[in-house]
Amino acid sequence: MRHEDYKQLLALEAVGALDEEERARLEGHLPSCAECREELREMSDAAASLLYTVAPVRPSAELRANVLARVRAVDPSEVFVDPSEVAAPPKAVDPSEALGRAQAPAGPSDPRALLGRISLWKLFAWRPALGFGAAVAALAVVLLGLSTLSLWNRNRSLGNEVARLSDRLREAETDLAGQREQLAGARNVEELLASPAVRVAELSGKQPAPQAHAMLAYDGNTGRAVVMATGLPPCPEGHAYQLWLIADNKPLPGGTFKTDAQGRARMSDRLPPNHTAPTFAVTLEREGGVPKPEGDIFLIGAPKG
Amino acid sequence: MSLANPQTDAEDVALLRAVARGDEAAFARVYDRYGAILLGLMLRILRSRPEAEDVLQEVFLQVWQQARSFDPARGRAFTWLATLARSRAIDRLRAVDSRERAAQRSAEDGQPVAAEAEGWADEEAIRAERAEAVRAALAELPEEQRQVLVLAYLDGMSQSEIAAAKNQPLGTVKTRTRTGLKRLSEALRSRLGEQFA
Repeated sequence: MRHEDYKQLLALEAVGALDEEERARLEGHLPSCAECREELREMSDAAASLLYTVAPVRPSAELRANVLARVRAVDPSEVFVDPSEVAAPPKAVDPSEALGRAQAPAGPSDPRALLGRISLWKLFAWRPALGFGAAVAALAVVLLGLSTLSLWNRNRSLGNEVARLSDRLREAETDLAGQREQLAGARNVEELLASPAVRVAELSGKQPAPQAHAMLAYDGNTGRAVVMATGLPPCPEGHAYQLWLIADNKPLPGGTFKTDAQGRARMSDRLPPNHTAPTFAVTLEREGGVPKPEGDIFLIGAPKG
Repeated sequence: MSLANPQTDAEDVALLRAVARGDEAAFARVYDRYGAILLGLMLRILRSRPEAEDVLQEVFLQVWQQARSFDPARGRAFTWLATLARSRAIDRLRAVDSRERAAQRSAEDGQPVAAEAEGWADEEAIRAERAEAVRAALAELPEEQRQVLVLAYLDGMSQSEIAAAKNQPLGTVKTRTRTGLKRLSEALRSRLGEQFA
Protein backbone atom coordinates (compact mmCIF):
# COMPACT_ATOMS: atom_id res chain seq x y z
CA MET A 1 0.00 0.00 0.00
CA ARG A 2 1.27 3.46 -0.86
CA HIS A 3 1.36 6.17 1.74
CA GLU A 4 -1.54 7.95 0.04
CA ASP A 5 -3.67 4.83 0.54
CA TYR A 6 -3.01 4.87 4.28
CA LYS A 7 -3.95 8.55 4.46
CA GLN A 8 -7.30 7.70 2.89
CA LEU A 9 -8.03 5.38 5.77
CA LEU A 10 -7.50 7.92 8.53
CA ALA A 11 -10.83 9.77 8.50
CA LEU A 12 -12.72 6.49 8.20
CA GLU A 13 -10.85 5.10 11.19
CA ALA A 14 -11.69 8.23 13.17
CA VAL A 15 -15.43 7.68 12.65
CA GLY A 16 -15.07 3.95 13.30
CA ALA A 17 -15.81 2.93 9.73
CA LEU A 18 -12.89 0.62 8.99
CA ASP A 19 -13.23 -3.15 9.01
CA GLU A 20 -10.84 -5.40 10.97
CA GLU A 21 -8.49 -5.94 8.07
CA GLU A 22 -8.21 -2.30 7.08
CA ARG A 23 -7.70 -1.29 10.69
CA ALA A 24 -4.95 -3.86 11.18
CA ARG A 25 -3.22 -2.55 8.07
CA LEU A 26 -3.41 1.01 9.32
CA GLU A 27 -2.19 0.01 12.78
CA GLY A 28 0.81 -1.58 11.08
CA HIS A 29 1.63 1.70 9.33
CA LEU A 30 1.12 4.15 12.20
CA PRO A 31 4.13 3.34 14.41
CA SER A 32 6.46 4.49 11.63
CA CYS A 33 4.57 7.56 10.40
CA ALA A 34 4.28 10.67 12.57
CA GLU A 35 2.34 12.54 9.91
CA CYS A 36 -0.45 9.98 9.85
CA ARG A 37 -0.48 9.69 13.65
CA GLU A 38 -0.93 13.45 13.95
CA GLU A 39 -3.68 13.57 11.35
CA LEU A 40 -5.46 10.64 12.99
CA ARG A 41 -5.29 12.45 16.31
CA GLU A 42 -6.93 15.55 14.82
CA MET A 43 -9.57 13.51 13.00
CA SER A 44 -10.35 11.47 16.12
CA ASP A 45 -10.76 14.55 18.29
CA ALA A 46 -13.02 16.15 15.66
CA ALA A 47 -15.17 13.03 15.40
CA ALA A 48 -15.47 12.69 19.17
CA SER A 49 -16.60 16.31 19.42
CA LEU A 50 -19.79 15.26 17.62
CA LEU A 51 -20.68 13.58 20.87
CA TYR A 52 -21.22 16.96 22.54
CA THR A 53 -24.33 17.42 20.41
CA VAL A 54 -25.96 14.32 21.89
CA ALA A 55 -28.37 15.10 24.72
CA PRO A 56 -27.08 13.59 27.96
CA VAL A 57 -29.36 11.19 29.81
CA ARG A 58 -28.58 10.81 33.48
CA PRO A 59 -28.13 7.13 34.40
CA SER A 60 -30.15 5.83 37.39
CA ALA A 61 -28.62 5.92 40.85
CA GLU A 62 -28.66 2.10 40.90
CA LEU A 63 -26.50 2.04 37.80
CA ARG A 64 -23.92 4.24 39.46
CA ALA A 65 -23.92 2.03 42.53
CA ASN A 66 -23.58 -1.09 40.37
CA VAL A 67 -20.67 0.32 38.41
CA LEU A 68 -18.79 1.31 41.56
CA ALA A 69 -19.46 -2.06 43.15
CA ARG A 70 -18.22 -3.97 40.10
CA VAL A 71 -15.11 -1.86 39.99
CA ARG A 72 -14.34 -2.63 43.62
CA ALA A 73 -14.79 -6.31 42.92
CA VAL A 74 -12.11 -6.33 40.25
CA ASP A 75 -9.05 -8.30 41.29
CA PRO A 76 -6.10 -5.89 40.88
CA SER A 77 -4.15 -8.64 39.14
CA GLU A 78 -6.78 -8.63 36.40
CA VAL A 79 -6.05 -5.03 35.55
CA PHE A 80 -4.51 -4.99 32.15
CA VAL A 81 -0.87 -3.98 31.94
CA ASP A 82 0.43 -3.33 28.45
CA PRO A 83 4.09 -4.44 28.56
CA SER A 84 5.14 -1.52 26.35
CA GLU A 85 3.56 0.91 28.83
CA VAL A 86 5.62 -0.27 31.78
CA ALA A 87 8.79 1.27 30.37
CA ALA A 88 7.08 4.40 28.96
CA PRO A 89 8.98 7.66 29.30
CA PRO A 90 7.43 10.42 31.45
CA LYS A 91 4.55 12.12 29.66
CA ALA A 92 4.24 15.85 28.97
CA VAL A 93 1.37 16.59 31.37
CA ASP A 94 2.27 16.53 35.03
CA PRO A 95 -0.85 15.01 36.61
CA SER A 96 0.08 16.01 40.15
CA GLU A 97 -0.02 19.69 39.17
CA ALA A 98 -3.53 19.46 37.78
CA LEU A 99 -4.70 17.40 40.73
CA GLY A 100 -3.22 19.89 43.19
CA ARG A 101 -5.21 22.64 41.51
CA ALA A 102 -8.37 20.61 41.44
CA GLN A 103 -8.05 19.76 45.12
CA ALA A 104 -7.36 23.30 46.43
CA PRO A 105 -10.35 24.14 48.62
CA ALA A 106 -12.12 27.47 48.29
CA GLY A 107 -15.36 28.99 49.46
CA PRO A 108 -17.28 29.59 52.64
CA SER A 109 -14.86 27.90 54.96
CA ASP A 110 -12.24 30.54 54.13
CA PRO A 111 -11.53 32.24 57.48
CA ARG A 112 -10.52 35.45 55.78
CA ALA A 113 -14.12 35.86 54.61
CA LEU A 114 -15.46 35.23 58.13
CA LEU A 115 -13.09 37.67 59.76
CA GLY A 116 -13.82 40.26 57.09
CA ARG A 117 -17.36 40.44 58.37
CA ILE A 118 -16.26 41.26 61.88
CA SER A 119 -14.75 44.69 61.27
CA LEU A 120 -12.81 46.24 64.12
CA TRP A 121 -15.00 49.36 63.97
CA LYS A 122 -18.12 47.35 64.66
CA LEU A 123 -16.43 45.71 67.64
CA PHE A 124 -15.63 49.02 69.25
CA ALA A 125 -18.95 50.54 68.16
CA TRP A 126 -21.08 48.50 70.55
CA ARG A 127 -18.52 48.50 73.24
CA PRO A 128 -19.49 51.57 75.35
CA ALA A 129 -21.50 49.46 77.83
CA LEU A 130 -18.71 46.96 78.35
CA GLY A 131 -15.76 49.15 79.11
CA PHE A 132 -12.07 49.04 78.43
CA GLY A 133 -11.28 45.56 79.72
CA ALA A 134 -13.80 43.97 77.42
CA ALA A 135 -12.46 45.98 74.50
CA VAL A 136 -8.96 44.64 75.18
CA ALA A 137 -10.32 41.12 75.39
CA ALA A 138 -12.17 41.61 72.11
CA LEU A 139 -9.00 42.93 70.48
CA ALA A 140 -7.09 39.94 71.80
CA VAL A 141 -9.66 37.63 70.23
CA VAL A 142 -9.28 39.40 66.88
CA LEU A 143 -5.49 39.28 67.01
CA LEU A 144 -5.64 35.60 67.89
CA GLY A 145 -7.99 35.16 64.95
CA LEU A 146 -5.56 36.88 62.60
CA SER A 147 -2.65 34.72 63.65
CA THR A 148 -4.84 31.64 63.34
CA LEU A 149 -5.69 32.82 59.85
CA SER A 150 -2.05 33.03 58.86
CA LEU A 151 -1.39 29.58 60.33
CA TRP A 152 -4.46 28.25 58.55
CA ASN A 153 -3.22 29.53 55.20
CA ARG A 154 0.21 28.11 55.76
CA ASN A 155 -1.36 24.81 56.75
CA ARG A 156 -3.46 24.79 53.61
CA SER A 157 -0.57 25.49 51.29
CA LEU A 158 1.49 22.84 53.08
CA GLY A 159 -1.45 20.50 52.68
CA ASN A 160 -1.47 21.13 48.94
CA GLU A 161 2.27 20.56 48.85
CA VAL A 162 1.79 17.27 50.66
CA ALA A 163 -0.92 16.26 48.23
CA ARG A 164 1.34 17.01 45.26
CA LEU A 165 4.26 15.12 46.75
CA SER A 166 2.14 12.15 47.68
CA ASP A 167 0.82 11.98 44.10
CA ARG A 168 4.39 11.90 42.82
CA LEU A 169 5.21 9.23 45.36
CA ARG A 170 2.25 7.17 44.23
CA GLU A 171 3.43 7.43 40.63
CA ALA A 172 6.89 6.29 41.58
CA GLU A 173 5.43 3.45 43.61
CA THR A 174 3.30 2.37 40.67
CA ASP A 175 6.37 2.22 38.44
CA LEU A 176 8.21 0.25 41.10
CA ALA A 177 5.24 -2.06 41.46
CA GLY A 178 5.31 -2.64 37.71
CA GLN A 179 8.93 -3.67 37.88
CA ARG A 180 8.33 -5.89 40.89
CA GLU A 181 5.47 -7.47 39.00
CA GLN A 182 7.83 -8.45 36.22
CA LEU A 183 10.27 -9.95 38.73
CA ALA A 184 7.46 -11.75 40.51
CA GLY A 185 6.34 -13.06 37.15
CA ALA A 186 9.72 -14.68 36.68
CA ARG A 187 9.53 -16.21 40.15
CA ASN A 188 5.99 -17.43 39.42
CA VAL A 189 7.32 -19.42 36.54
CA GLU A 190 9.95 -21.07 38.74
CA GLU A 191 7.43 -21.95 41.46
CA LEU A 192 4.96 -23.19 38.92
CA LEU A 193 7.45 -25.49 37.24
CA ALA A 194 8.38 -26.91 40.64
CA SER A 195 4.80 -27.98 41.41
CA PRO A 196 4.09 -31.75 41.17
CA ALA A 197 0.83 -31.25 39.28
CA VAL A 198 2.23 -29.03 36.57
CA ARG A 199 1.65 -29.90 32.91
CA VAL A 200 3.50 -28.13 30.15
CA ALA A 201 1.93 -27.58 26.73
CA GLU A 202 3.40 -26.33 23.51
CA LEU A 203 0.92 -24.25 21.49
CA SER A 204 1.36 -23.88 17.76
CA GLY A 205 0.18 -21.08 15.52
CA LYS A 206 -2.93 -21.45 13.38
CA GLN A 207 -3.75 -19.85 10.03
CA PRO A 208 -3.91 -16.14 10.97
CA ALA A 209 -0.39 -16.46 12.42
CA PRO A 210 1.35 -19.73 11.51
CA GLN A 211 4.64 -18.35 12.83
CA ALA A 212 3.21 -17.82 16.33
CA HIS A 213 4.28 -20.14 19.13
CA ALA A 214 3.71 -20.40 22.86
CA MET A 215 4.72 -22.42 25.89
CA LEU A 216 2.22 -22.83 28.68
CA ALA A 217 2.59 -24.27 32.15
CA TYR A 218 -0.58 -25.25 34.02
CA ASP A 219 -0.80 -26.33 37.65
CA GLY A 220 -3.80 -28.64 37.93
CA ASN A 221 -3.98 -28.21 41.70
CA THR A 222 -4.35 -24.45 41.78
CA GLY A 223 -5.26 -23.59 38.20
CA ARG A 224 -2.31 -21.20 38.07
CA ALA A 225 -0.84 -20.92 34.62
CA VAL A 226 1.88 -19.02 32.85
CA VAL A 227 1.93 -18.59 29.10
CA MET A 228 4.79 -17.19 27.02
CA ALA A 229 4.03 -16.42 23.42
CA THR A 230 6.07 -15.20 20.46
CA GLY A 231 5.32 -14.30 16.87
CA LEU A 232 1.84 -12.92 17.48
CA PRO A 233 0.81 -9.95 15.33
CA PRO A 234 -0.08 -6.74 17.21
CA CYS A 235 -3.70 -6.52 18.30
CA PRO A 236 -5.94 -4.16 16.36
CA GLU A 237 -7.31 -1.34 18.47
CA GLY A 238 -10.03 -2.38 20.88
CA HIS A 239 -8.91 -6.00 20.86
CA ALA A 240 -6.72 -8.28 22.94
CA TYR A 241 -5.65 -11.92 22.92
CA GLN A 242 -7.55 -14.19 25.29
CA LEU A 243 -6.47 -17.50 26.80
CA TRP A 244 -8.89 -20.44 26.99
CA LEU A 245 -8.84 -23.80 28.73
CA ILE A 246 -10.88 -26.30 26.76
CA ALA A 247 -12.19 -29.22 28.78
CA ASP A 248 -14.77 -31.69 27.48
CA ASN A 249 -15.04 -29.55 24.36
CA LYS A 250 -16.14 -26.58 26.45
CA PRO A 251 -13.94 -23.51 26.27
CA LEU A 252 -13.46 -21.87 29.68
CA PRO A 253 -12.32 -18.23 29.62
CA GLY A 254 -8.96 -17.11 30.92
CA GLY A 255 -7.28 -13.72 31.06
CA THR A 256 -6.44 -11.30 28.24
CA PHE A 257 -3.07 -9.97 27.14
CA LYS A 258 -1.36 -7.97 24.43
CA THR A 259 2.02 -8.31 22.77
CA ASP A 260 4.99 -6.01 23.06
CA ALA A 261 6.53 -4.33 20.02
CA GLN A 262 8.48 -7.54 19.25
CA GLY A 263 5.35 -9.68 19.17
CA ARG A 264 6.10 -11.36 22.51
CA ALA A 265 3.77 -11.69 25.44
CA ARG A 266 3.85 -13.21 28.89
CA MET A 267 0.92 -13.63 31.21
CA SER A 268 0.33 -15.16 34.61
CA ASP A 269 -3.24 -16.32 34.90
CA ARG A 270 -5.58 -18.25 37.11
CA LEU A 271 -7.51 -20.86 35.15
CA PRO A 272 -10.08 -23.30 36.47
CA PRO A 273 -8.15 -26.04 38.35
CA ASN A 274 -8.47 -29.82 38.38
CA HIS A 275 -8.67 -30.41 34.66
CA THR A 276 -6.67 -33.48 33.76
CA ALA A 277 -6.86 -33.47 29.97
CA PRO A 278 -7.00 -29.80 29.03
CA THR A 279 -6.39 -28.20 25.68
CA PHE A 280 -5.28 -24.58 25.62
CA ALA A 281 -6.08 -21.96 22.99
CA VAL A 282 -5.52 -18.28 22.34
CA THR A 283 -8.05 -16.26 20.34
CA LEU A 284 -8.34 -12.61 19.34
CA GLU A 285 -11.27 -10.97 21.11
CA ARG A 286 -12.62 -7.61 22.23
CA GLU A 287 -10.46 -5.83 24.76
CA GLY A 288 -11.60 -6.84 28.20
CA GLY A 289 -12.39 -10.40 27.13
CA VAL A 290 -15.57 -12.32 26.36
CA PRO A 291 -17.31 -15.22 28.12
CA LYS A 292 -17.44 -17.38 24.97
CA PRO A 293 -14.87 -17.31 22.18
CA GLU A 294 -15.88 -15.35 19.10
CA GLY A 295 -12.63 -14.46 17.34
CA ASP A 296 -10.10 -16.43 15.31
CA ILE A 297 -7.90 -18.99 17.03
CA PHE A 298 -4.26 -17.99 16.92
CA LEU A 299 -2.65 -20.66 19.05
CA ILE A 300 -3.70 -24.12 20.22
CA GLY A 301 -2.11 -27.08 21.91
CA ALA A 302 -2.26 -29.64 24.70
CA PRO A 303 0.22 -31.23 27.11
CA LYS A 304 1.71 -34.44 25.77
CA GLY A 305 1.02 -37.77 27.48
CA MET B 1 -18.24 33.01 21.74
CA SER B 2 -15.93 31.97 24.54
CA LEU B 3 -13.14 29.48 24.00
CA ALA B 4 -13.67 25.89 25.04
CA ASN B 5 -12.22 25.15 28.44
CA PRO B 6 -8.71 23.64 28.21
CA GLN B 7 -8.68 23.25 31.96
CA THR B 8 -11.28 20.52 31.62
CA ASP B 9 -9.16 18.61 29.12
CA ALA B 10 -6.07 18.69 31.35
CA GLU B 11 -8.22 17.59 34.30
CA ASP B 12 -9.55 14.68 32.27
CA VAL B 13 -6.01 13.52 31.55
CA ALA B 14 -5.12 13.75 35.25
CA LEU B 15 -8.28 11.88 36.19
CA LEU B 16 -7.57 9.02 33.81
CA ARG B 17 -4.01 8.79 35.08
CA ALA B 18 -5.39 8.58 38.61
CA VAL B 19 -7.87 5.90 37.56
CA ALA B 20 -4.97 3.93 36.10
CA ARG B 21 -3.41 4.00 39.58
CA GLY B 22 -6.58 2.56 41.07
CA ASP B 23 -8.03 5.83 42.39
CA GLU B 24 -11.74 5.14 42.96
CA ALA B 25 -12.61 8.76 43.64
CA ALA B 26 -11.14 9.81 40.30
CA PHE B 27 -13.06 7.02 38.60
CA ALA B 28 -16.33 8.19 40.17
CA ARG B 29 -15.53 11.70 38.96
CA VAL B 30 -15.07 10.47 35.38
CA TYR B 31 -18.36 8.60 35.64
CA ASP B 32 -20.19 11.65 36.96
CA ARG B 33 -18.68 13.88 34.33
CA TYR B 34 -19.31 11.72 31.26
CA GLY B 35 -21.75 8.97 32.18
CA ALA B 36 -24.75 10.95 31.01
CA ILE B 37 -23.27 11.89 27.63
CA LEU B 38 -22.16 8.32 27.02
CA LEU B 39 -25.57 6.95 28.01
CA GLY B 40 -27.09 9.40 25.53
CA LEU B 41 -24.86 7.91 22.82
CA MET B 42 -25.73 4.34 23.85
CA LEU B 43 -29.43 5.14 23.65
CA ARG B 44 -29.00 6.67 20.25
CA ILE B 45 -27.13 3.67 18.85
CA LEU B 46 -28.98 0.87 20.65
CA ARG B 47 -32.44 2.43 21.10
CA SER B 48 -33.14 0.33 24.18
CA ARG B 49 -32.72 1.65 27.71
CA PRO B 50 -31.89 -1.71 29.34
CA GLU B 51 -29.29 -2.52 26.68
CA ALA B 52 -27.86 0.97 26.80
CA GLU B 53 -27.42 0.80 30.57
CA ASP B 54 -25.91 -2.65 30.27
CA VAL B 55 -23.32 -1.50 27.78
CA LEU B 56 -22.63 1.62 29.84
CA GLN B 57 -21.66 -0.61 32.77
CA GLU B 58 -19.34 -2.63 30.54
CA VAL B 59 -17.81 0.56 29.21
CA PHE B 60 -16.98 1.89 32.65
CA LEU B 61 -15.61 -1.45 33.77
CA GLN B 62 -13.35 -1.27 30.76
CA VAL B 63 -12.40 2.31 31.66
CA TRP B 64 -11.33 1.02 35.08
CA GLN B 65 -9.34 -1.85 33.67
CA GLN B 66 -7.81 -0.14 30.66
CA ALA B 67 -7.14 3.41 31.84
CA ARG B 68 -3.45 2.60 31.68
CA SER B 69 -3.64 2.29 27.93
CA PHE B 70 -4.81 5.87 27.50
CA ASP B 71 -2.13 7.83 25.65
CA PRO B 72 -2.58 11.61 25.52
CA ALA B 73 -0.44 11.74 22.34
CA ARG B 74 -3.21 9.95 20.46
CA GLY B 75 -5.98 12.38 21.34
CA ARG B 76 -7.92 13.94 24.17
CA ALA B 77 -9.17 11.94 27.13
CA PHE B 78 -12.75 12.56 26.02
CA THR B 79 -11.87 11.10 22.61
CA TRP B 80 -10.53 7.95 24.29
CA LEU B 81 -13.74 7.58 26.31
CA ALA B 82 -15.92 8.28 23.29
CA THR B 83 -14.07 5.75 21.13
CA LEU B 84 -14.23 3.07 23.79
CA ALA B 85 -17.94 3.64 24.44
CA ARG B 86 -18.84 3.80 20.78
CA SER B 87 -16.95 0.57 20.01
CA ARG B 88 -18.76 -1.35 22.74
CA ALA B 89 -22.11 -0.01 21.57
CA ILE B 90 -21.39 -0.98 17.97
CA ASP B 91 -20.22 -4.44 19.05
CA ARG B 92 -23.48 -4.95 20.93
CA LEU B 93 -25.46 -3.59 18.00
CA ARG B 94 -23.87 -6.01 15.57
CA ALA B 95 -24.17 -8.93 17.95
CA VAL B 96 -27.94 -8.77 17.94
CA ASP B 97 -30.09 -9.36 14.87
CA SER B 98 -29.97 -6.07 13.04
CA ARG B 99 -32.97 -6.40 10.80
CA GLU B 100 -35.36 -4.74 13.25
CA ARG B 101 -32.88 -2.02 13.96
CA ALA B 102 -32.28 -1.31 10.30
CA ALA B 103 -36.02 -0.94 9.80
CA GLN B 104 -36.19 1.55 12.66
CA ARG B 105 -33.28 3.55 11.38
CA SER B 106 -34.04 3.95 7.72
CA ALA B 107 -36.60 6.59 8.67
CA GLU B 108 -34.05 8.76 10.51
CA ASP B 109 -32.47 11.67 8.68
CA GLY B 110 -29.33 11.83 10.78
CA GLN B 111 -29.87 15.06 12.67
CA PRO B 112 -28.30 15.46 16.10
CA VAL B 113 -30.96 14.88 18.73
CA ALA B 114 -31.89 17.99 20.69
CA ALA B 115 -33.98 16.50 23.48
CA GLU B 116 -34.02 17.79 27.05
CA ALA B 117 -30.75 17.45 28.82
CA GLU B 118 -30.68 15.59 32.12
CA GLY B 119 -27.00 15.80 32.92
CA TRP B 120 -25.35 17.42 35.96
CA ALA B 121 -25.63 21.20 36.03
CA ASP B 122 -22.01 22.39 35.85
CA GLU B 123 -20.90 19.71 33.42
CA GLU B 124 -24.02 20.48 31.40
CA ALA B 125 -22.96 24.11 31.06
CA ILE B 126 -19.63 23.11 29.54
CA ARG B 127 -21.24 20.53 27.31
CA ALA B 128 -23.88 22.98 26.08
CA GLU B 129 -21.22 25.53 25.23
CA ARG B 130 -19.28 22.96 23.22
CA ALA B 131 -22.46 21.63 21.61
CA GLU B 132 -23.17 25.06 20.31
CA ALA B 133 -19.68 25.38 18.86
CA VAL B 134 -19.88 21.95 17.24
CA ARG B 135 -23.31 22.64 15.74
CA ALA B 136 -22.08 25.93 14.33
CA ALA B 137 -19.05 24.19 12.84
CA LEU B 138 -21.26 21.44 11.40
CA ALA B 139 -23.44 24.10 9.80
CA GLU B 140 -20.45 25.11 7.68
CA LEU B 141 -20.48 21.72 5.99
CA PRO B 142 -22.62 20.84 2.99
CA GLU B 143 -25.72 18.88 4.03
CA GLU B 144 -24.59 15.55 2.55
CA GLN B 145 -21.22 15.63 4.37
CA ARG B 146 -22.87 16.56 7.66
CA GLN B 147 -25.35 13.72 7.29
CA VAL B 148 -22.82 10.97 6.63
CA LEU B 149 -20.71 12.05 9.60
CA VAL B 150 -23.65 11.97 11.98
CA LEU B 151 -25.03 8.71 10.60
CA ALA B 152 -21.62 7.06 10.82
CA TYR B 153 -20.45 8.33 14.17
CA LEU B 154 -23.55 9.03 16.24
CA ASP B 155 -25.97 6.52 14.75
CA GLY B 156 -23.40 3.77 14.32
CA MET B 157 -24.19 2.98 10.70
CA SER B 158 -21.53 1.35 8.57
CA GLN B 159 -20.46 2.97 5.31
CA SER B 160 -22.35 0.27 3.37
CA GLU B 161 -25.50 0.82 5.41
CA ILE B 162 -25.33 4.55 4.76
CA ALA B 163 -24.79 3.95 1.05
CA ALA B 164 -27.86 1.72 0.95
CA ALA B 165 -30.02 4.07 3.01
CA LYS B 166 -29.09 7.11 0.95
CA ASN B 167 -28.96 5.28 -2.36
CA GLN B 168 -25.41 6.42 -3.05
CA PRO B 169 -22.32 4.53 -4.22
CA LEU B 170 -20.04 3.36 -1.42
CA GLY B 171 -17.16 5.40 -2.85
CA THR B 172 -19.21 8.60 -2.63
CA VAL B 173 -20.07 7.94 1.00
CA LYS B 174 -16.41 7.39 1.86
CA THR B 175 -15.30 10.55 0.08
CA ARG B 176 -17.97 12.59 1.84
CA THR B 177 -16.89 11.16 5.20
CA ARG B 178 -13.27 12.08 4.58
CA THR B 179 -13.91 15.55 3.24
CA GLY B 180 -16.57 16.24 5.84
CA LEU B 181 -14.41 15.27 8.78
CA LYS B 182 -11.46 17.28 7.53
CA ARG B 183 -13.70 20.33 7.15
CA LEU B 184 -15.24 19.81 10.55
CA SER B 185 -11.81 19.60 12.12
CA GLU B 186 -10.75 22.87 10.46
CA ALA B 187 -13.99 24.62 11.39
CA LEU B 188 -13.69 23.56 15.01
CA ARG B 189 -10.11 24.68 15.22
CA SER B 190 -10.85 28.08 13.76
CA ARG B 191 -13.76 28.59 16.17
CA LEU B 192 -12.23 27.26 19.31
CA GLY B 193 -8.48 27.35 18.97
CA GLU B 194 -5.88 24.58 18.90
CA GLN B 195 -6.85 22.95 22.15
CA PHE B 196 -10.25 21.85 20.99
CA ALA B 197 -9.78 19.75 17.86
